[in-house]
Order: sequence, then C-alpha cells, then structure tokens
Amino acid sequence: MRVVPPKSYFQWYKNWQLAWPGYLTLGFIGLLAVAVLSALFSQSDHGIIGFFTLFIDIISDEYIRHITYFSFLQASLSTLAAIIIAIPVARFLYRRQFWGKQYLLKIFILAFIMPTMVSVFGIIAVHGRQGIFNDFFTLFGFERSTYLYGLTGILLAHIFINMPFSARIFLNELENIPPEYWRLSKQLGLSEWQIFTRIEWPIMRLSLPSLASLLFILHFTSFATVLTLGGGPSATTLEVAIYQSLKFDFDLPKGASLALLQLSFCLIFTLFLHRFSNQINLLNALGKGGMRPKASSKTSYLADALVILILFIALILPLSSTFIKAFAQTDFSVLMSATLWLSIKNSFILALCAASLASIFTLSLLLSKRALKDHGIQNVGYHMFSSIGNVILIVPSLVFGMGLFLLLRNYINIFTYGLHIILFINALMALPYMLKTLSPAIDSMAERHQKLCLSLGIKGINRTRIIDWPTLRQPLSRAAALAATISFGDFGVIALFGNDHTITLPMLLYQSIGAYRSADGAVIACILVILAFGLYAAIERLIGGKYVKN
Amino acid sequence: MLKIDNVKLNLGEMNFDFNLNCKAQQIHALVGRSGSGKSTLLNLIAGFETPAQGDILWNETSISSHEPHQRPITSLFQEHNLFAHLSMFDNIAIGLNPSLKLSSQQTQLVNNAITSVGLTGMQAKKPKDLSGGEAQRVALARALARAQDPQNPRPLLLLDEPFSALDPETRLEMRGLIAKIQKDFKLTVLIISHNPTEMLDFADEIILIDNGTVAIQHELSEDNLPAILDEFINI
Repeated sequence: MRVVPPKSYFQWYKNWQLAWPGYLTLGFIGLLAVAVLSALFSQSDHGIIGFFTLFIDIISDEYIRHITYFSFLQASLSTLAAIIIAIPVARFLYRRQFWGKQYLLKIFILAFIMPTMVSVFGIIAVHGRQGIFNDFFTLFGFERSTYLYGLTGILLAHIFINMPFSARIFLNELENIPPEYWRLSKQLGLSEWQIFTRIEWPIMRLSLPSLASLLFILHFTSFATVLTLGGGPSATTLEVAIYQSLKFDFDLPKGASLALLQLSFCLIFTLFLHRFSNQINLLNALGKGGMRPKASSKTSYLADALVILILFIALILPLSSTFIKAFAQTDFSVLMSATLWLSIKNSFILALCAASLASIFTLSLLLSKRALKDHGIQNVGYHMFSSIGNVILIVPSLVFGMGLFLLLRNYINIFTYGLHIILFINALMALPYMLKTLSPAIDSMAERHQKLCLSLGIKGINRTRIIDWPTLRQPLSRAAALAATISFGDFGVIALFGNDHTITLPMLLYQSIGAYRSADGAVIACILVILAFGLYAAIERLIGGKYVKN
Repeated sequence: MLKIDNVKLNLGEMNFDFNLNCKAQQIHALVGRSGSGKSTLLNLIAGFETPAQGDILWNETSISSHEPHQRPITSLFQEHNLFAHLSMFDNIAIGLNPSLKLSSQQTQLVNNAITSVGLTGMQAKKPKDLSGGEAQRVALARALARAQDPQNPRPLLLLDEPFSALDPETRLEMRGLIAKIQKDFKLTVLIISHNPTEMLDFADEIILIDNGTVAIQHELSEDNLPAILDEFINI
C-alpha cells in the first residue's frame, strides 16, 4: 500500500523549480519599481513623510495648481469630445452598408496605433498656419490664423487618435444587439429617435464607464500631443511639466515631486478603471449591419451626411494630408541626412530589442504561471505573474524614466546609455499589452493540452517544439509586433534621454516640426508610418509563420 | 486485471473511497449521477489525481507511483483529444513517440490503426477538417496504436464520455467500433456514460458510482438485467 507523504517542508523549493523564470522576472520588476519609487521620494521636495503635502501644494502653489487644472481640463474635454462624436459615427457605421466600410474600419484602427507624432503632424498639416484650412480660407480673403496651438490643437489631436477607437467600441456593442429587438422595433413602429433612446443607447451605455475611464487616463498621460501642440506654459500638463523640469530647468526635486503627483493620480484613475471590469475589445467590430431597420427619414440622411463631413475633417484629412504633403515634395534632401539614417537605425534597434525583452518577460511570467497551475499551486506568485501588468499600467513611462534618471545618474553617464534605458522602459510599458494578448492563449492552451500531454508523455523540448510553439507563435507574433510598433513610434521617454546620438524617428519628426521644416517633416512622417507598419507585418510573418494565414 | 485497492482521495468537501476489481479484456461501464465520482475514478487510474491512500494495480503490479505516460493506459476525453495544429497522422503518431520520429514499425502501426478505424486516405487532414465522429475515431486510432506498441503496450482504455457531443447515430456507430476493436485487440475498456440503457447491450459489466464510492458492480447478462435495473432504481 502506498501512502503519499505529508506536504513537504520544501514546497518552496518545488515552487522555485517550477517557476523560477517567472519569479526572477517578478523580482526584477518589483525591485526596480521599489528602487525607482525610492529615488523619486528621496529626491522630491517632500520625502516620504511629506508626501501628502504634495496635494496641499496643488492648492497653495499656483504653478502646480494650474498644470493640474489644465491636465484635468484637457483630459475631460478630450474624453467628452471623442465620445460625443463617436456615438453618431458608430450609429452611422451600423445602420448604413456601403462600399469601403471595411477599409474605413481598418483606418479606424490605424489612427489609434499610428505613431503619435505622425498624428500630430497630420493635424498640423490640416490646421497649422500653413495648413490646408488656412490655405482654403485665404482663397476668400481671410488672414492666416493660428487657432491650432493650445487647447484646440490638443483636442483636435486627441479626437483624431481616440474617436475612431471609441466608435469601434460602440459599434461592437451595437452589433451585439439581438435580432429579436429589431423585429420588435419593426412591429412597434419605433422612430429613429425612439430606436436610439430605447434600443441603441442603453446598449452603448454599457461600455461607457470603462471606455471613458480608459480614454481619460490616455488623455491625462498624453505627452507628445501636449508637448507639440500645447504651445506654451498656459497649456502645460503634469506630464509635460515633468519633462520641462528635467530637460530645461534641471530642477530635479520639482521633477520628482511632479512625477509622484502624476503617479498618485494615475493610481487613483487605474483603481477607478479597474472597477469597470467589462472588457473592451477593439478588434471585435465586424461592420455587419444585422437586422436593423433601414433609416430612411430625411433627418437620418442629414445626420449621416454630417457624420461623413466630420469623419472627413477629423480623420481622413489629417491622415491623407501627411502623405499628400510628402509625395508633393520636390525636395527630398532629408533622405541624404546622416541623422535620418541614424534615427532609423536607432528606432529599429529600440523596437526589436524592446519587443524581444518584453516577449521574454511575458513568456517567463505566463509559462511559470501555467507550470504552477498544472501542479495545483496558486500562491501569491501565481496571482502576481499576470497582475504585474496592471501595476505597470499605473506608472506612466515618463514617470518611470524620471525615476530611473534619478536612480542611475550618480553611477553612469545617463545620456551615453540613453538607448538602453529607453528600450528597457519601452519593454516594460509593452508588458501589460503582451500579457493581455498572450494570457488567454496560454490559459486555453494549458486547458486543452495539459491532460493529453501528461497522458502521452509529451514534455520538455518535445512539448515546446511540437505542441507549445505551433500553438503560441500566432498570438506571440501579434503581441511582439504590436510591442515593436508601439516602441518604434513612441515619443515619450526618448524626449528625456534623447540627444544628437540617441535620436529616433519620432524625435527627429518632433525636431522638424519645432524648426518649422514641414517639408522634411512630411517625408519623415511618411517614412515613420511605412516602416512602423512594415515592421508590424514583418514580425507577424516571421514569428507567426504560415499559421498566421489559418 | 485492474485492481483499485482502498484508494482514498479528498477533493474539497468531497471524499472518495474506491475498491474495485475489473477483469481484463472486458468493457466496464461506469454510470452514476453528475458529481458522483466517475471522472475522478478515471483520473485516479490515469494518474491525473494522486490518491491520499491506497494502491492501483494492473496485472498485480502497482502503477500508483507511475507518471501518467508510464501507465499502460490511453485516455479519451470528452473534447480536446487532438492537437489542432497537427495532422491526423501526427496526432496518432505522437502517441507512440512524442518527438514524432517514428521507426518503420511504428509508422506501420499508425497506418494499421488508421485502417482499423476506417479513416484511410485522410492522414494529412487537420482536426478542423474532420467531423466530430471522425475526430473521435482519430483519438481511438491513437489508443489502438498505443495498445499494439510492442515496446510499451497500453491495453487499458479509459473513455470519459467521449461520445456525449456526438449525434445518436454516430454514437451508436462509435460504440460498435469500440466493441469490435476491444474484441479484435483484446483491450480492457472503462467507459463513463450518463445513459445506462446505452451500456446494457455494449458493456460486459456495469458499475454504479454513487457519492464517491462503488455502489453496485454487476456483470451484465440477459438473465440479471431486470434485477440490476431494479437495484438502480432503488438507489
């Protein structure tokens, strides 16, 4: 008779053996987070004890009060504007079937994942002093105006980036309306307004809290847009103030205090977002109309015509004007510039290294989690392996960069190792997205294959080669491609650590915009978009292989 | 013979205590309500659960300490019996060699198994191209190939409601196929079913699991059928 011994005192050793890559990654990230926080606290004006006086400063210090107020103002207005426009856009897309609708939906995703500096450039190309709008109004004898810079520009850019995203979320909700609702609406003879208030709005409202919270966080931590289009001290946010305190004033205590303040707000917002746990999925909307009755009233046609006009001005025009400007060029001398090629090289290094590092972190965490689950262990580490992503989401990249700067500046020449620090931060910032993409794939893989692999003795390298890799390569390719693309087009931490040698394409574009070299800017923006999406496609094909097609 | 000797297991609030002898080369049907412990018993035999006490013996040799793949067993589950990205041939071959590097003898075994389950010519197909019945036939072919593996024969087949998702006609067809394979290749089969009446003309023995233990174990014959049904109804 066999009696299984009681639980071993060396359970921890077994846990370690099963999941050491995950524990190492977790420990590393945890230690780094503590070190960064300590650096921020020790350098700030307030220290740990006086941390809460930071909030008193919001009231007493006019500068902090103003930038906090403006951060909230622009984030609230941007969120409101993006959502208010997205509602009729989603309804239009749901109730009208037309040629090119699928392409339009693809453009919606493009606008969201496009490098921010390119979006900003597109907005300037339309609304700037030399932009299409001003060109158009001068035909009627109007003076060229500079309405773009300040709150207007920030709102226009945020609407361009996040309105299509919001519209897709709403469209996804509309597509989930059961067909019985439409049969009922036909039977009851509901008007378009009644359809909106009784059927569509109650469904769209479901995703409103999570969508609004997410947009608010994105707008509150928006950096490149505010830096480029803010136009001066009156339109400065906390995120930009952190950058200015380090880059221009070199006032480290003030920068550290602002970073802590920003971190506190982000913590509160993320907790708020966490309350609305319903998932929002950008890729779900299919663009199929379903059984909705045709909207044939004059008012509905008029409303949809207005939507098309808004879409044209807010989305299509900025998107196309970058390319039009670039291809209308006669001066391509920027292509001969050594700085351009250096920035392309640096951007590729950053993107590929950050994506590789993020993939290693993600796989270490998730495969360790699976190993523990396979053995029925659900300890603290098990839960932390996937939730570490939420912790990282709280910390804006600029705050993390500020912390690392303070932490390392006494030991190394920060600007010599700028690229290393940026790729490391970019890898960490990509981690939440990668965890979110890969976690369901690994969970379902474990659920489907675990018993079968156990019973057939498929383990070790055979399991990795024959079972796990073919199953994981597709989701991994998408996650790694997204991480690389985001890193390639990111203009965040590079603003802190960049210099003439540590320069990337988004930074070069920023410099062109700043120096009013719009011709060069158009070419750089085009190169940036083409290379970013080329990189995405290449990584997806290389890692995903033939299985991508399935 | 398969012997479950005083095997005890505790899963949350549920206690299991099994004692059972199953003759080799027969079909044993496990029936009982949901949550009674049928799947747990198969998991214990297959090695997916570790008993707190007791022993499991196959032909008087203890297999309790063996890893699942070292036991003389092949399991067929309700779903996920095949790897979606592997071809039908590879799905069967992986049962003989996890590295998929087969000897010529093993390749022959796989081909024979495919013929036995009536899927000749479909070797290259992926699971997504197969019907539910065909997919379960592939899993059965793998069990067959493993049972005939001269280096490591696994003559014990555990079926955890493998046909519950199939239509009645295919289910009947699959039961016929299992009965034929069991006879031809002298397998010992333990099959879980929610429908005892389906088992009456199929199994050699019927075992009722109730509340984590073996409540009734009877050989099936036309003579004792009414008595067994009475006993079932009483429980």
